[in-house]
Amino acid sequence: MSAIPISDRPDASLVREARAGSAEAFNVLVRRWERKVYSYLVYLTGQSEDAFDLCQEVFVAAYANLGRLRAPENLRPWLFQIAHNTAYSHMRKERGREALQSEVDPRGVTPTLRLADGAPWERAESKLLVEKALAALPVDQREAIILKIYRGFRFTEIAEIQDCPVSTVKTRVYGGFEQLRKLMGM
Amino acid sequence: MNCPGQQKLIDWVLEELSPGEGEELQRHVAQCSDCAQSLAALQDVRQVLMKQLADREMPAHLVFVPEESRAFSRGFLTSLWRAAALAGVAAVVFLAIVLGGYARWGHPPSPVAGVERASMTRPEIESVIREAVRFQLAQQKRELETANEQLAADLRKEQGRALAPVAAQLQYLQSAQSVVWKQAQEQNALVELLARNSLGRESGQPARP
Repeated sequence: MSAIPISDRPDASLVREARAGSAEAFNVLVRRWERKVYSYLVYLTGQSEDAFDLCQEVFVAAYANLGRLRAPENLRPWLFQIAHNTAYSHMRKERGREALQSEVDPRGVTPTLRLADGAPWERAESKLLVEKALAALPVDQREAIILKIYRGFRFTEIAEIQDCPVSTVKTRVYGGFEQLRKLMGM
Repeated sequence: MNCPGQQKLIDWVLEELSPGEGEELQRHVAQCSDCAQSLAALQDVRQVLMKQLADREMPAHLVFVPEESRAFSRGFLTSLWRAAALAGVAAVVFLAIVLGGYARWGHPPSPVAGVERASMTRPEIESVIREAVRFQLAQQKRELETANEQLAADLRKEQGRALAPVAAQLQYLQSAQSVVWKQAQEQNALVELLARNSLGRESGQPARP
């Protein structure tokens, strides 16, 4: 294993090395995953600055609890589970539980957003409109969509991250997908 | 096959169907314009979302430093920071967050979470490196000068120790030379007296002392 450069080693190997006390191995993991965790937190919370602080918390918690990760191969869903817990804890403090279960409010979304000839989605405003459409979803639904579309997790993995049955995840994804389709006028 | 329904179509778009289920659904969609239309719309939604939900640029990168090298790192980063400050550039922001007491296994190093700025312009980087090198060279020059002074003092001391016997010998030789010189003078005076006495006897005049 030592013949492989540390930056190319798989997550599981780096987790074992970090457990043995290698800060360098942990830093490789941080560098590999920090941007993805940060982006997930930005999309989930809608706050870039909060997301950065939360991202630090996630990796601090990951380092502290690395010994509890039963299967080093499962670092990815485990890391996002920590990110999920950290983000939800933060959002509860910030907005209270009511906000977490808010109803869909499509009024703020521009109804004229449609796919036309060529690639109108290349326009800068399309990014903003998609973010607005996502923000209009309840946070659980939004998170399920982000984990599925952005990170490509399986339904079973999302269920672990969100700590709920797979059927609940499916309901969230189906509902969220359908809602986004309507909001984006497709 | 009957129309599979929206959820099955979403499963297919999100790649949650088995290969067998996917092939069956594909055969149906090829013959059903309604399902084909629904599927196309769902694929558009996925495509748009995938395009927009990309990795975001981080304002800074996270760095963990083990406890045993924290002192060195602080020193190193402090030097860099000083150099950067001289250049008017915030090169490295080091937020020391000591995470003592988090270790749950073995004896892992207590980390320090640091944050370094994600991107600097090329002139900023060059300026920081230039200042860091200048600072380092000045430090090395000072250390070299101190070492040279110490070496010179040691050499002088060593030379003093080595020359002491020679100086004693020289002093002995000088005193010996002085004695010989004195004896030579006495002998000359004696010879001169004898010569005068001898000349006085030959001329019949008494010799002068």
